[in-house]
Amino acid sequence: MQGFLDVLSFLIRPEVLLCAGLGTLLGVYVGAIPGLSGTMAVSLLVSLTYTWSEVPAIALIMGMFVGVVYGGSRSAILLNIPGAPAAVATGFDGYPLAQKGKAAQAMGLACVQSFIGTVLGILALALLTPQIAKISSLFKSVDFLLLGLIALLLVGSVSRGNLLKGLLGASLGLFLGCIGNTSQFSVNRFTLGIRYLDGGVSFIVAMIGLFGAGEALYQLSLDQPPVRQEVPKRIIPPLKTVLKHLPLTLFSSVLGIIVGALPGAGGDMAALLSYDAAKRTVRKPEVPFGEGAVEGLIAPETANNAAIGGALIPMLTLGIPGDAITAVLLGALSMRGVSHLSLLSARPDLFHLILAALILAAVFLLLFGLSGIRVFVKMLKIPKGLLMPIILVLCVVGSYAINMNVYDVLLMVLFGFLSFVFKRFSYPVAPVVLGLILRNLLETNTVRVVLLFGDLSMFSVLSPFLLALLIALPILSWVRGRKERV
Amino acid sequence: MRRFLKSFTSDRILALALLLASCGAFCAALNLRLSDNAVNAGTFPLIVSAAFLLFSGLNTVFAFRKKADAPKGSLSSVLWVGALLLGLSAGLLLHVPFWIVCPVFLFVASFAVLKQAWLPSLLSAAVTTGLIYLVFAVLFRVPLP
Repeated sequence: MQGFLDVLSFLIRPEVLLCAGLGTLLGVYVGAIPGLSGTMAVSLLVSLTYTWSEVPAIALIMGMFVGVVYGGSRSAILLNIPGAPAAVATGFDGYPLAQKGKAAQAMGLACVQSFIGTVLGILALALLTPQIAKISSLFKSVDFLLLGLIALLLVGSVSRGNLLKGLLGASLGLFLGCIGNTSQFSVNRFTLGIRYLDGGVSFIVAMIGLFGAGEALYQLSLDQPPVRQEVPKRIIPPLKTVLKHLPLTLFSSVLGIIVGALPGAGGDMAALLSYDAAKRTVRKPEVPFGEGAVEGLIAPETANNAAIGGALIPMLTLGIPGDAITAVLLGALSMRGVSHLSLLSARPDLFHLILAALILAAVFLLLFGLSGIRVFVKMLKIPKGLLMPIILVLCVVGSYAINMNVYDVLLMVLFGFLSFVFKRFSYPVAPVVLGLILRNLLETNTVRVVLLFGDLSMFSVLSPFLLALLIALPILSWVRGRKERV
Repeated sequence: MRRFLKSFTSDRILALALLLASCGAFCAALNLRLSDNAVNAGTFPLIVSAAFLLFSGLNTVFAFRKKADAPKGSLSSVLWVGALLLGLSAGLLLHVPFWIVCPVFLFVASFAVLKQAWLPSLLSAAVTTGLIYLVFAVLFRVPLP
């Protein structure tokens, strides 16, 4: 009861209200700009608010956190350039919806689902923190490896009837992810003596090139006029639509919270897994997945926002960040002298402040997330001859902004050309990004599992369960690919 | 001979290029793996590159067995814009400031290559450069190249 009153007292404090609102507004628009990642935005805010007192600084950062996760979906829906890795799965069905002239409805639905996901994540954070922390601490290397392998199943979902080409793309992505110096071994791998590659291939750079530049070049090769966009009077989706998909929303939220609570997994993994789960569980979508299914938009958008609450759970209970943004947040807290493993018991006031800021941010998300949609949609009315060069410039700036490195721009251009060639010959590009995203999780845990078994030969390393799964995965993917073609 | 050469359609050349790349990847991973007998930096790449080799091998077989897919769309404007994009990156690499190369790229790509009217092209070049400068350099203090 005391905790509830504490949260309430924070909710009505003007500086919390103002900062949470400002942070969310900034987050929604910053998240939509490719290259300005959530981690970068939160890091900037941490340095900017260093001299501020704790309450407004944390409210502002929390608002930004919630805003950027949703903001990333806007560019994914409109331009097929995910503003953040967590929005990669949003583009799978969000962009086809925009190509059908339904960009405004897609962004409206994404906002409402993000709001629901955030609220459910907050509820889990407020009520189930100890229980979820226990579940996440039970996860061992083998389980993380399995999680990564299950996420790889998504290749079947995003291959659009070209399973073999999808698997080829995923293995290419996994291999490209191996380039550079790994955290486990001090060895430069496959860098061909190029020093720039020592740091590896940034998957954000690859994502901008493969989805953004590649799509812009591909669109230029097609002689199609811009799609006429429907701008409905009501951007807020009808309650009927939201209620119809409530079971999927709840399922995606639970998945988002649990995956978000796993250290290192984060919103991107939550969104990918939830998209895959939706594809498997939704029997008769109105439109097939990958061609503008609303279910394909609802699942990742709900999960990536629900993962916010989940990612804060290990941070507050065990002092372990759930994702990159919570890692920055943890750093910011330790800079302020708050460095306790269990913030929940050591600083309950801080926990209540975080909860209050998140609640306000969720409300502001609904307010600001639904604003400006008409202006964003108008962007698609710009003739292709003007819009595509602008997108290419945005890709250039976005890839440069990540590390302030011009070689990132060159790499992005290379990925753009690769994506264009892939699209031209019907190779799906999403599996390449999937491989790049999953490489770290898969390699880290493969190595740990191998070390645990203490033997190198493959068959002694693989437990019968894991071996069965490894055999079952391609078969399952193949069956799904066949089902899709039928 | 001519018939043999004609069978190398663009999609088959792509399949062969991917196969070649996967062979290179596999050899490099094997080389890295063999350098030590314990679990090392080559273990995971070897597994991954073996999968890459397998899938690209199968892809090549299928590419040669089925009738060649006709590529979609025309190439001319893409080649020009792609070349301009490379020029933009090279310009940045040579330390030509962003506020010079960006509007030049935008104007040339829109007006000369994609046949837009000169005024909208000019406006788009100026407004985009200005907005990017404002958002990145002024608002978020992200230095532009």
